[in-house]
Amino acid sequence: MTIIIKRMYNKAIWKYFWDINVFNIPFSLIIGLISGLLWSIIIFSSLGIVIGYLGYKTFKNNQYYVYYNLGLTKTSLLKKVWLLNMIISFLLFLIYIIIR
Amino acid sequence: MDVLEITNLNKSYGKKILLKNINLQCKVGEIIGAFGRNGTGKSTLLKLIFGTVKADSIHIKINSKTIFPNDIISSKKIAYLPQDTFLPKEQKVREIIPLFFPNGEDQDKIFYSPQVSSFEKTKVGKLSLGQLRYLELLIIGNLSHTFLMLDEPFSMIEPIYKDVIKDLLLKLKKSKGIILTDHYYNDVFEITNKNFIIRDAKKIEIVDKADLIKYEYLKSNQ
Repeated sequence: MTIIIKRMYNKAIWKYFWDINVFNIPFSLIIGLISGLLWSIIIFSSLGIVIGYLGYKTFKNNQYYVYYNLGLTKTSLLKKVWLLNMIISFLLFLIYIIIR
Repeated sequence: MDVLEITNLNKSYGKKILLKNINLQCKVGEIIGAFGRNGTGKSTLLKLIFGTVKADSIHIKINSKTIFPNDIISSKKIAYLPQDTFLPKEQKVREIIPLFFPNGEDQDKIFYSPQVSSFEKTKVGKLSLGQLRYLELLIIGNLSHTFLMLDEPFSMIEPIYKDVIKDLLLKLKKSKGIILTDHYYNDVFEITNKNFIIRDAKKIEIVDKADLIKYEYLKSNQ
């Protein structure tokens, strides 16, 4: 885990993570309002990432060249975002269980 | 000396053959200019080498070692300057530089480059075209990659920045091999060692402006 976090400690990757989740978070929250908080948490680490990817592709597609020139492919970036979102979702799920 | 070799490059879109059996070699210390009318495949050629467009066939070797197209980006041997700006417009120049260079010494190389102090606090979206292209080239050129693919580095640039960019490219070629394409042929001829034109999907070596006329890239009175 330490190795993963160290490797991810990179401003460029955090920027991509944030840019994807700018689209993902509102989508997940809307789903949460309709179907409940638990669904919101599930969507955040699954379909929401797809929505984030499509939003990024639509509005910021050329910025992928930032990452390509840093040696990062789309697949490797999305894997990192997915892993981080899974960790966040798991923590949110634990908080949900405790509060409930 | 590092050598990039491209052989058997072919690319078609449907029935249209864009590039046919292109072979190309670029050594560190060389700047190679690629010419061709719009739609002849210059930009596609660079993207094929960079691996962001899939070729029908391509064989890439660096120092005689084959690199598969899917591994080019992760190998960090070839960098690519796209035609359109790729830097996040909402961020300031001083915030962009650490995205590419986590190390302070590497950041200083950019911050202390000529002209940069005059626009480092400006947002990327507010830079002039010349400042933006220069910044992009500084960033791409200071990465560790040995070979640079530059798509229209002189396009729409104000004259003062053209000279700055030419100086930068001549400095970079000491440690890198560069392939560039641009319609500003006079600027290109000033800095290149070798040139070619793409015509009818084929690569033809050229020497000077007369060849550009001969292969109908320019009219004789231009």
